[in-house]
Amino acid sequence: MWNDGVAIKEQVELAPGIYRMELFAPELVAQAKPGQFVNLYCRDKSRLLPRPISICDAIVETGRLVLIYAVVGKGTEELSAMGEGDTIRVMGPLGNGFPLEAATEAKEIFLVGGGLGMPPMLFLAKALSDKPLKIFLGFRSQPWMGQEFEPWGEVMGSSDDGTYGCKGTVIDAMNLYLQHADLAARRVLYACGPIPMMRAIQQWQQGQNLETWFSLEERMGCGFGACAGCPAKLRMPDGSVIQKGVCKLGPVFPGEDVIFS
Amino acid sequence: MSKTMAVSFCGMEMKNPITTASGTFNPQAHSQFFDLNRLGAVTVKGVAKEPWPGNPTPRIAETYGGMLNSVGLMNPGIDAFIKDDLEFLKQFDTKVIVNTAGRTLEDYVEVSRRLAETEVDLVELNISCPNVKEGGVTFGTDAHMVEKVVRAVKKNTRQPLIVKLSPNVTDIVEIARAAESAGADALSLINTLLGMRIDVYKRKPVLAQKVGGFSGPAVKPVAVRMVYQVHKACSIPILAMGGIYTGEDAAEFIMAGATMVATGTANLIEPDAPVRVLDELEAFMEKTGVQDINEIRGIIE
Repeated sequence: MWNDGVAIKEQVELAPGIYRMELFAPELVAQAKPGQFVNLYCRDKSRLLPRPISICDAIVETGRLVLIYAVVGKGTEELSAMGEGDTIRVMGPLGNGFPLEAATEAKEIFLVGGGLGMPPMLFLAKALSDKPLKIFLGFRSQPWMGQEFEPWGEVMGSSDDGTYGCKGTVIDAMNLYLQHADLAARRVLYACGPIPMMRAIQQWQQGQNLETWFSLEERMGCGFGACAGCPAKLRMPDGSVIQKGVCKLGPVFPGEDVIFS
Repeated sequence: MSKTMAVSFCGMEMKNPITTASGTFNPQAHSQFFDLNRLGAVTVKGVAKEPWPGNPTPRIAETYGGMLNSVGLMNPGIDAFIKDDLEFLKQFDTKVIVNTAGRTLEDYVEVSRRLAETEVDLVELNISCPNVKEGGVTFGTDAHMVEKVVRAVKKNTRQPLIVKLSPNVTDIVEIARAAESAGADALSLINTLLGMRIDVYKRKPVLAQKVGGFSGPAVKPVAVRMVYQVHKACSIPILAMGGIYTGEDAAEFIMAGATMVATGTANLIEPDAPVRVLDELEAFMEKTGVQDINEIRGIIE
């Protein structure tokens, strides 16, 4: 489940501070499911904790694992400086991923990705490409991803400043689409993005014939269910509140159950 | 290179001196990574008489060579613990140490009573968690309080009682002596050091609770010093922890006086750390001509 010497095959900066890394990890790739993540470890031992990064793509034919991540601190800065020929310690795949079976009964499937929540939606889009997919991608401004999704479904973009797709949020893009769609149709929505986006979807979904699944992010310790560092709060049908570890029992949970603090 | 690794701890034969520090080991999660049978003992996360929800997130922050946590003893309660973790651990041939948490003296007594009915081998009394407002470290930083709690719990505990000490005190020896005189069978140290990190760009603490327990390789010298001091002052055995990452680290604590040693933060970074440390400790003995691990215990004058 972990490998100390995974080879980095390619690293490119997609946009300022956003990187795409390709690793050669055939065994991990063979097991990976959409929505799962991997732990990357720094070489500098003053930085002990893993950096959990969602899987953007796992290409079985080539054994390539694709990760897209942002530099947010010293650890990811160290990762971004690595390149072809370097090796890195990787653990995974971790977490449970998106429940694909939820899509079987649906008339239409919405994939919603916001900012750095977008990369894992690509892997999901490929896995569900035989289904009627509507893909909503939300950026602040200039997109650094998007075209990759086009072979797998209808892509509808949005951005805060209007430079990409419609001006507004993914909610605006979904409303725009639904103006000409059958509102009663059974839909399943998978989402990954910043908390304000997920919270907005949760409010927006009320009263719709819509089942949602959110992939959550939380600051993690171990990433494999040992440290109790990353609980998600979930509301159960009876009104009680329970906690489940995002790393081991998530990171995907039923959208309506999630309590955002 | 067959070495004698077995140690006697509280009258119990342990196949080797390695265990896990509570809160950093989950039996089911870790059993995917190594064979639990290889350890002298496993120590499981603090359990209270009822479920505790723990603290708000973020609960984890990285620091130079270590980490901060403010999990706050989140646990499923003694009933769920007995049904799940303890049941799971029955299949392994290793001693089981259970860390116990409480908000009041009665809480600790209650958990000890419940554990007395189980096959748990040893109980570790956690009066040193820095992340809970009531109980925890408030019991562990005052010598009179330590004596009172240990005496009461000891009376209600069937198993040997290990008392886990907090390093957040002026004089660790005073606290260790109080625990020993109140009937502790062994001492474990150190729990985490109280620490804090501030995100200077957001101008706020990184942890939701503001402060948390500091652990990892960075704290090791503090732990070695405390184990050394306590070993000189007390005669009950010591289970040492605090930044152990390698076999040499384990040897360092044993030389300072520890009978058993636990890997903690390392278990979260490298899930098979306990067995790697065990192998490295044996390799260290080979390299330095030590036949029996008991030869080097407390050799530092």
